[in-house]
Amino acid sequence: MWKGVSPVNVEHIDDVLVIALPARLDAVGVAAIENNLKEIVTNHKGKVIADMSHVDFVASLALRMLLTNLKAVQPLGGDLRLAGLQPQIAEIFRKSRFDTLFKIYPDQESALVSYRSV
Amino acid sequence: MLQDLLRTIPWFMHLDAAQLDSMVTSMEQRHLAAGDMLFHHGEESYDCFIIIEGSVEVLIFVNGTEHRLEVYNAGDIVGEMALIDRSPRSASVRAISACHLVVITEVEFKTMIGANPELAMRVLRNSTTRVRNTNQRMISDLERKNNELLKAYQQLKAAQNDLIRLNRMEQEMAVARQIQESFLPRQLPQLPGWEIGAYSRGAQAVGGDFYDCIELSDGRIGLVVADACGKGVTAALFVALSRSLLRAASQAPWIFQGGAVLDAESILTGALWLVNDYICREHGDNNMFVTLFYAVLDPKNGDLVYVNAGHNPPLLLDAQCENLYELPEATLPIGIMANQTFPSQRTCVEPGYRLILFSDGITEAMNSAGQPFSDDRFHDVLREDGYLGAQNLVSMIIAQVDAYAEGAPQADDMTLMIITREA
Repeated sequence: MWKGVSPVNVEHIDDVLVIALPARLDAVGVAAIENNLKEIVTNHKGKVIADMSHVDFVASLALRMLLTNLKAVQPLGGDLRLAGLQPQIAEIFRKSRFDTLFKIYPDQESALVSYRSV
Repeated sequence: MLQDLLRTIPWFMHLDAAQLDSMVTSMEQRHLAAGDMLFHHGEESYDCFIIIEGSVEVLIFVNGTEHRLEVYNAGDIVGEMALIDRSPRSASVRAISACHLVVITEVEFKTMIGANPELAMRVLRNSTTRVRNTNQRMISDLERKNNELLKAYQQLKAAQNDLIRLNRMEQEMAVARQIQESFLPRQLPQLPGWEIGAYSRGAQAVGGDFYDCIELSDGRIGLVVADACGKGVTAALFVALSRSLLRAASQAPWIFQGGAVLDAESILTGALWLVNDYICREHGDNNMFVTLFYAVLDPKNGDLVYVNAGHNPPLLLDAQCENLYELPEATLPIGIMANQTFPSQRTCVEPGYRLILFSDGITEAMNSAGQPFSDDRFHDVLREDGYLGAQNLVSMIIAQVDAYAEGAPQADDMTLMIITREA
């Protein structure tokens, strides 16, 4: 379990690591959490949910950060699923077709259910 | 009686009664209130003083700040240095409390010393101690100043190195910018019945956006607008890589030779497969990607075959400047998944229609309140000014975006390409 000071909000629900991402994922926002997030996700190795309900801006670097984490957990049998995308964020995922890379759920609860039903 | 008072002071103890009497007869006395000056630094007066009562301080002024060097009390001699070497006063002396002093002239001084060689020794000792103290103070002062200077020099040197480094970086960035500009088409193709206008501006010295017009066989033209992930140098390197690969793959000899003209679908899917696979294979660890719209336009009939690799959907504006259509269907961006296929889509740019390719730096340009220019504003400008020629319409949109942003610093690069077909 992560014990250090973390700029991202992390919670363990059963065997699922739930990460609440901050509102602005622009270049500065991404730089602030990128390394920390990678460390948490890589250490966890398993089921991860990124709760994006607070996120109201994503730059392309944020998509890259999520992709990097997805690629880090998938070979270990884990997954990174996204929850609670605001409409304008969902639109960015649709246009860039990143919606085909991730399993996306309306909220954290349904993302948790998706892991339990496996 | 002054004589009785003087007898208690060592300076006068060894004088005989006659000597003391004769001295007292001609002796001047001074009374000072606290704060009164006895003499000033630089003053040319050569008497010295013996304090009968009270205390005085010896002062110097450095850069307008007062420094106290010594304090003298009853029985002490003050100002004998000027008397001995006939030089102007080396410091100022001020009374700390009410003072009673006697003035000693050179003649009296000699008499006193003559009467008691021990006194001469005492004067010498006083002077020597004073010189020693002054020396010590000067040396400490010099050492301190030397350290300060050394520190200031080191800081200056570090700042200068930073400046040199910064300067060199700026020069390198200027060169990089020039090179990057050479990655944009030197001139846009002139096609009868068509007009192409384009614009690209980086948020930093070098950018992550580019556009391109690639000459293809049979008079066809490849139109590209792309946006590499991130911005600045990292993105610029990826722009250089993907733009060059795409151009080389599109203009490979097999596309021009071999008799039969290669169809647009094959050019697109072949070039994109190659570029994507190369980047995934060689640079996959970086997880960098490029969103890219690539279309092959046949100016003879307006046929447009395209692949949209995760880029903002381009827009088609009808001849009446009333309706805008988003070009549908997209694939993942370039650089994410190796061995990916890029199925192409097909549409037609009808006479009088305009095709608008852009990067999200246009619609997401922020004003100082952090509000984006937005799709809605972009569409409004297109409907309002869509009748303009391609290059004028590009300039109009950029002017509108700039007016909206009011000079607020932009986070993203802006790229816009407009292709208009005569009605």
